[in-house]
Amino acid sequence: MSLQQSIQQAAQKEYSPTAPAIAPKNVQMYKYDQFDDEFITQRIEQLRSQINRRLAGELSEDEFKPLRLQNGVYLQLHAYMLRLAIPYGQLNSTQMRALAYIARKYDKGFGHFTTRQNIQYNWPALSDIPEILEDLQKVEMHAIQTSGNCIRNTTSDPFAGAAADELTDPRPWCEIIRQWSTLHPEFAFLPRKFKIAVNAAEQDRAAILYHDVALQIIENDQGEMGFKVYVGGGQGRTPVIAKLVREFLEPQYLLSYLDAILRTYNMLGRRDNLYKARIKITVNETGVEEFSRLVELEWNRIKDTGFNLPEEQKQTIFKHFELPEFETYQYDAAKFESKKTENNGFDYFVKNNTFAHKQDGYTIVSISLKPHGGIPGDISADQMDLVAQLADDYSLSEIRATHRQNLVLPHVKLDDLFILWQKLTKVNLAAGNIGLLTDIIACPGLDYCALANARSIPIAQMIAEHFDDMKKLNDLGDITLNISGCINACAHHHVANIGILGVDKKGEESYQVTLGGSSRSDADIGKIVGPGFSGDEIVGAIETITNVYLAGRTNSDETFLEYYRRAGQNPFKEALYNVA
Amino acid sequence: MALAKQIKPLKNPVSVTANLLLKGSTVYLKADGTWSDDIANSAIAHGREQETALLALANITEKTQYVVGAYSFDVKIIDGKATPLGMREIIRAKGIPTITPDGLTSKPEWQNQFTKSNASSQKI
Ligand code: SF4
Repeated sequence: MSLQQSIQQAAQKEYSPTAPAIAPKNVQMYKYDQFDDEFITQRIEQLRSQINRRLAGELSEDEFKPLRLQNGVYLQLHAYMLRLAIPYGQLNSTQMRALAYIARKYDKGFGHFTTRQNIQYNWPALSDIPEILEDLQKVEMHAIQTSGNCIRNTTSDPFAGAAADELTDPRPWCEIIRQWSTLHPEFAFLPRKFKIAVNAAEQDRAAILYHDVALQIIENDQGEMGFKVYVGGGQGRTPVIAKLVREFLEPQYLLSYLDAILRTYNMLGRRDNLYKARIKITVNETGVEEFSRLVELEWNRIKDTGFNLPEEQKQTIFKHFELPEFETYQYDAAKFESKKTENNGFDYFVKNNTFAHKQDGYTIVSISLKPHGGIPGDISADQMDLVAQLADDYSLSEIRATHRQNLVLPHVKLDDLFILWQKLTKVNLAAGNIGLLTDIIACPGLDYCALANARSIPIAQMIAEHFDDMKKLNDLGDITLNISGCINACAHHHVANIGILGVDKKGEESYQVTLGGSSRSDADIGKIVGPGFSGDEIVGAIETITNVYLAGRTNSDETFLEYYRRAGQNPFKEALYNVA
Repeated sequence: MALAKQIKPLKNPVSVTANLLLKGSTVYLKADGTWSDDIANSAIAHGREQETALLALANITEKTQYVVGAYSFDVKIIDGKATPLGMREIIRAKGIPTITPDGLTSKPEWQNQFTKSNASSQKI
């Protein structure tokens, strides 16, 4: 069955007779033009030819590896892994159906959403990859900028364009950055990978301060919009919070300023040592003042002659993101409240999985990909199809992927929330645990990843199983817990309130715990609490840590992080290791 | 210092493993220079010289675009057959993760279906 047939069939399943046959036309997102399409076609043909040359022995693995990596193709423990780009985490229902189709046809019926708002397939054959990319092209997706030492997929707030607390929609700016950065010839071979994140809300839901460049959209005293620019954040073996380099950048200069940052980094960044090649090290070694002086110098040289986005093109891009037409209606508050009283699960779902929408009568719904017994971020093809259908039926065909490995339906009418929850319940996607201890970020770890030291997924599952009681979880409240299988920190363990890092201790898996990290606006890097724990001990250690918090907090309004910041590490050390 | 003195003897016996170039799955070098998806069939080296010889054999098939990334790893011998030491190699030998997402319960079928003859000839 072809992709188009599959999408039509999925859209016509019993779920909703109202589903559009193929592409939802009304979704507020960037749409490919002829240039984009031809560009992707060329790119796929290049990769096909590179694979054929590799198979024919004309390219060695050393020559081929950087080429496949530039197309998101990794070789892992059991198979190739293909990482696809989801620009700033935005998908439409047709794209989600295509992801389900690919999971079934070329993989093993599931996919894995990552902390970069992307999706990975764990089992494709090298020979199938050009065909997968052709199928993706039909729904305007690709795998460019998901690997290699280039500017990677720009990330952003998964609630963008919907959140009540945002100043403006950051997505058009992300799209501008995407178009500017995609295969930018000057920045195709940077010292290391380079990640940009944009946020426009009060809350930082995109962990922007841990990116190479963080752009916070703000308003100045005159009410003009601009960017606060931070540089040199990152995680990995040296976690660093990005430093402020410009208080206010007028939006018309965004691209020339980014050019200046990238040029400065490209010149100064170290190519002699892989572990010192990220911009965070360049900024630290150069000093932030000197680094920003050099950026300003270069920017002043190019800002009026260099590339800045023509107004007409800017307007064209902004048009793709105009607000959808929301319905004005009076939602039935009494009925809504009674459903919450009647259904504990729905009550938790509303409390934890919804967020204030900018339009009255609407809400933003997070779908937890951490159901009981599940694998964080994993989703089956059938679940993908269902989410696509629910997006068509209840969220103007829009879906978002979050950096916490969950999905979002950004435009749901409050009147539809109960039925939506019921439908999610049927496919094990209604866990009301967003923001709670079991909303765990876990990287693939040693179960899949060639770089791993220890497994992450079974640890996440054991913790989730132990903290099974929704009442207790809600009592514990807002806590982030992230697990990485090695120091590369793909699961952002440094910035979790409770971080777990898998290490290899004389051939055995061991788990080191950090406390006090935060990826939000109050960014902080967690500190190691003491010696690591074995796989058998780690759940007990987490139980001890939560007990210390419950016993020590002033009241249930004091969050875990607030308590930790007040009490410090000692109470945790004492309880974990019996030391003062 | 003489080179011979720098080379430490093997701590454990070793086998040689790689991934199939076309499919990426895990395979083990047999004594006859062919590859098996079952570690129990792998050739075992007991000393550095044997290890070097096995890696040289693996290198020959790497050059035919059949496998990629060959390396030696520690094994334990049980009933005369190699079994993996260390979690990484235990997981690789299993062919699937230690957790089993829906629909993923056995070693991928295509591993067994794959034959050497279609490795370098297949165009896509
Ligand atoms: S943190 Fe390490 S183990 Fe986990 S996915 Fe990243 S590289 Fe692999």
